[in-house]
Amino acid sequence: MGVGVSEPRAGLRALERALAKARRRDAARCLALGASVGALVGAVVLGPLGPAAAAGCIGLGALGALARRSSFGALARRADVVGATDDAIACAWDHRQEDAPILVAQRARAVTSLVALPVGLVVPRPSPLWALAWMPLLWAVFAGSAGLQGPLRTDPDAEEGAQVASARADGPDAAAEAPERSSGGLVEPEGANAVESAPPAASRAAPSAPDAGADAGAPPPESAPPVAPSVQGAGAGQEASDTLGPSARALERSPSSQPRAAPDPLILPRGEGRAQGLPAESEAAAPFPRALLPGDDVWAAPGQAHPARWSGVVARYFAQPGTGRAQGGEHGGE
Amino acid sequence: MAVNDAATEASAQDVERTAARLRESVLDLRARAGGVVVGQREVVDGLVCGLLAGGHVLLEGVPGLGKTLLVKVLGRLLDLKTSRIQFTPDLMPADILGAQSLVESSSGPSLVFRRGPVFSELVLADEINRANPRTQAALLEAMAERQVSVGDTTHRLGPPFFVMATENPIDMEGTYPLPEAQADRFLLKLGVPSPDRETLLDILDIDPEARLPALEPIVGRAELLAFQAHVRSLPAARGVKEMLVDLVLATRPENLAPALRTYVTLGVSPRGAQSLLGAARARAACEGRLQVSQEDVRAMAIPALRHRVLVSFAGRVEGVRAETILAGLL
Repeated sequence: MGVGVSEPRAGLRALERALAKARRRDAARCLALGASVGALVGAVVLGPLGPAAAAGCIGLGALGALARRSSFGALARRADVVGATDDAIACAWDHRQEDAPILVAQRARAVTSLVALPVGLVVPRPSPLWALAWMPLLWAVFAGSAGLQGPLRTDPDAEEGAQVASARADGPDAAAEAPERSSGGLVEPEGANAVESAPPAASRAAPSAPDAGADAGAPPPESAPPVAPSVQGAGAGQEASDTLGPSARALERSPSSQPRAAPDPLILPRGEGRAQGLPAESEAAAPFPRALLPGDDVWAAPGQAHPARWSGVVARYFAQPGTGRAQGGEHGGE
Repeated sequence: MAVNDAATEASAQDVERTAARLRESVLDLRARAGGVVVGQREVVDGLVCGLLAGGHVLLEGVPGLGKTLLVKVLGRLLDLKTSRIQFTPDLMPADILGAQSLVESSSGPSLVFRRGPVFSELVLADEINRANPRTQAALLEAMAERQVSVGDTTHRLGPPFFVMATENPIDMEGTYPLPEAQADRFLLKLGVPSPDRETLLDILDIDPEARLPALEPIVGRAELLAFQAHVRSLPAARGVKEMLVDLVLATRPENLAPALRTYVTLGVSPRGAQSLLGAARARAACEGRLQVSQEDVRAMAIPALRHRVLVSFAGRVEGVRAETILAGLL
C-alpha cells in the first residue's frame, strides 16, 4: 500500500492529482495535434483567403482537438491498459465518491500503480513529425513575402524587348507597332521607349546629314551584324531572366547598374549601356537596354549620335584634308 | 471527520489483511488438494471460486474421476460438515430434506422433524439428473432459498451452504436432465476432464484414502464467511460491467449473428449476469486483487454461462455446444 494514501481523502487527492497531470499533458498533445492539422488546412486557404483565415484554421484546429481531449475516465482506462493494472485505476476513478473500506484500500493500490507509471506511457509526447504539417504553411508564407508565390513566369520585359528588337530589325513601321510597355516596374526598359524615340532622332538627323539620316532609319549593312547579336542577346536575356532569382534580378535592376546619362553625346564610354542615336533628354528618360547595344568592339557611327547643331562641325571635320575618314571616304558607313 | 477517516483507514488495512490471507489460503488449499486429487487443478480452482462467491457448482464428468474425493478433501480443508446424496429415480424429497416422524416420549407421542442430508455445509449431490424432477426441485429450492420449509416450520441452511452436484454426460437412459430454470441456480458448471497419461501414472502412486485423514483444516468456518463477505464487496469498474453486460446481451438469439441465431433458443438471464460478476469477483480475490478486471470476466464466462445458454434442437443435431458459441462471442 502506498504511504499516505490509505486515508480516504488523501488517496482521492493523490488519484486526482496523478490523473490531472496526465490530462494536462493530453491537452497539450491535443493542442499540438490540432494546431498541426489546422496548419495543413491553413496552408491551403492562405492563398485564396489570406493569413487571417489560415490563423483561424490553426486556432480552430487547436480548440477542436482540445475539446476532444481524453476525459479522466478515459485516461484511467488507458493507464490500466498501459500499466497492466487489471482495471484498478479505472475502478478507483469510477468509485471515487465512495469511502467504503475496500474502496479506500483499492484506491490506495491504484494510486500506487498510477504514480509508478510514467506519464509518458499514458500520454505520449507530441511527435516531432507533426512539425512537417507546418512546412506547407511556412513555405507559403515565405514565398508570399519573397514574391515567389505561384509558378515562375516569363519576364514580360524580356518578351517585349525581344519583340521590339525584332521589330527594329524589320523597320520603323514595325517598330511603331511594337507593344507598349507598361510602366510601373523597377526599371523602364528596354526597347519600347527606345524605339519610340528613335524615329524623331532619325528625322532630326536626316536634313543635316542625308547620308547619315538614311542610316538612322535603316541601319547600314555594317551596323546590322552588331544589332543581330543584340537581338539574339535579347532572347538569351529572356532565358537568363527566367532562371534568375529574385535577388539577382533586383541587383540587375538596381540603379547602380542602370545606364547613366552622359553629358557629352559624342562620347560613348565603353561598357556603358547607352543608346546610340538618342538625344540626351530622351536617353535620360528612357535608358536603352544593354542587350540592344552593339558590342564594345564596334565603332559607333559618328553622324548618328549628336544633335543637329553639331552636324556642320562634324561634316567640316571630316571634310578637312588629312583626316583618315575623309581620305577613306567611308565616314558614316562604318 | 478525522475520527471517521482513521476508522476507515483501519478498516482499509483490515481489508488488505483479509485479501492477503485469502490469497495465501487459496494457494495453500490448491497445493494440498492437488496432493490428493491429482490433475484437477482447474476444477479445484472453480470449486474454490464457487465457494467464495457463495454459489453452487455443477460438475459434469464421467464416473470415476474423483468427484466424491474432491468434496471430501474440500470439506476437510475448509473444516466443513459434508454429506453425500446419491440421486436415484426413486429418491423422494423427504429423503433429502428430512421429514416429520412420530416420536414417543415421556409426555406422549409428538411429531419431530428429522433433518435430511441437505442439512449440511457441503453437500455432494451425486448424479443429480437421475432423480425425478420433483426431488430435483426440492433440492434446488433449498439451494436457492437456503432454507427448508416443512409443515409450518422453516429451517435455515448454513451458512455456509454449498452444493456440489454431479452430472453424467453419458448413459442418459432413464435420466431427467435439469430444466433450464433449475440449472440457472448453479453459479458455475465445470467440466471434469479425464486425466492424461502422466496424470494417470501419478494417480496410481497415490493412496487417497491414506492421505485424506492427514489433511488439516486451512480455513475455519468464520474465516470462510469473512472471505465470502470480502469477495462480495469487491468493486468493478464501469467498463468491466459494461463489457459483462455486452457479453450477456450478445448471447440472446436476437443479437446473435444470423448463422448462429437458429442454434440458440435462450440467452443468458439477468441472474446469469449476476453470477458471472460474482464468479469474476471470486477469481479476482483468489488472485489477490481488490477489483474485478475484464480478464476475470473472460476467464469465468464459459463456466458461468455455459449452462445458461440453451442450444436449440437444430444446434444439438449439428453438434453445436454452448461453449463454442460463448468462445466465439469472447
